[in-house]
Amino acid sequence: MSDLILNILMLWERNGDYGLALTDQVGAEQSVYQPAGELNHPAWVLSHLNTYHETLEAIIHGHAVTDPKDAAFGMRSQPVADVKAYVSLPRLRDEFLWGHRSIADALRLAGPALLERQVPLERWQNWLPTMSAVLMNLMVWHETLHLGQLSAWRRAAGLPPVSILPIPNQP
Amino acid sequence: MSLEAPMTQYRFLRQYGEGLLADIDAEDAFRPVYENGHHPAWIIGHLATIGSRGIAMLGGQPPVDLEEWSPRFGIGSEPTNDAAGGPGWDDLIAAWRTTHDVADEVGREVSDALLNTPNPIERRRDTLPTTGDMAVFIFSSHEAVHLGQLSAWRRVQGRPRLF
Repeated sequence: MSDLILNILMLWERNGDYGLALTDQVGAEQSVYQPAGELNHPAWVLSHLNTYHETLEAIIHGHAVTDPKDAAFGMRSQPVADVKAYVSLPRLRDEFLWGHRSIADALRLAGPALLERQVPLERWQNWLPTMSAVLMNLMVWHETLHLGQLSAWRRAAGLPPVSILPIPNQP
Repeated sequence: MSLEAPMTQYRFLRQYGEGLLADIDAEDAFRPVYENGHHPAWIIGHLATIGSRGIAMLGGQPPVDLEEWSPRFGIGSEPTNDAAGGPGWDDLIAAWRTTHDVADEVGREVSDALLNTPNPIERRRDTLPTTGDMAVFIFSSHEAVHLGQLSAWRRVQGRPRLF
């Protein structure tokens, strides 16, 4: 397995744990709470990231890729303070966890041919010219950026901070 | 082990960060937009400090004085809402940029032998066993998570999105 894939899998695992920790014990109404301005709240962030999990699955398995920007919780969507606009947070968390595991498994099994494939969306090709760049950006930059927004949301909501790198055996 | 992939990500994060910083001036940089919030000055100072730690780990010369900067910007620090007694906004941005430049160079030259040594931060070895693992984290996810906080700071104020 290449260093790139090993690096990505390590960081992806951190993100999976972090996303769950950031949304642990967040109630239904709280999940769509916007404590300041138009902060991205947990329901939107997980809905958005789960959308991109579907994109990643398609990419890794070599299936047709639908542009996620136009999806219900894609790039063009905005968070709304309405719990009915989202599936429940427990379900979003389950889907997030499942997506993380499924994508990690698929990436471990994918051979070197994955990195040789053409970038699947034309609009990505200028700034993500290789499949390596696509995977690194979607699985590291994009997801971690949104988890950083969630960490900011927690502070604004008055919740205790959560570290992306918790120390084992410490609360 | 190679740092090529995380350093490519780090270069991308610099471009992204420059976009986030483009319309932030010194007057705003030390202003949290909610109680206990991270403001741009702390975020950029923190990234320069931790990036400098990463550089030191890889055998390079850290761009910031870690003894001086760590209390204000290191792990466990909290934002202070003015620049008094610390670096100003222009100095913070310069330090962050220099950290990126130096890390890029050091990342190209570091040996496999050094990357495979145990993580010098012992308490992190469970999750990031080697120096290379720690460097991968510092120059990708760590930078991204804090830039995410910076993007959140912008959103609260209704500043334009980059994407």
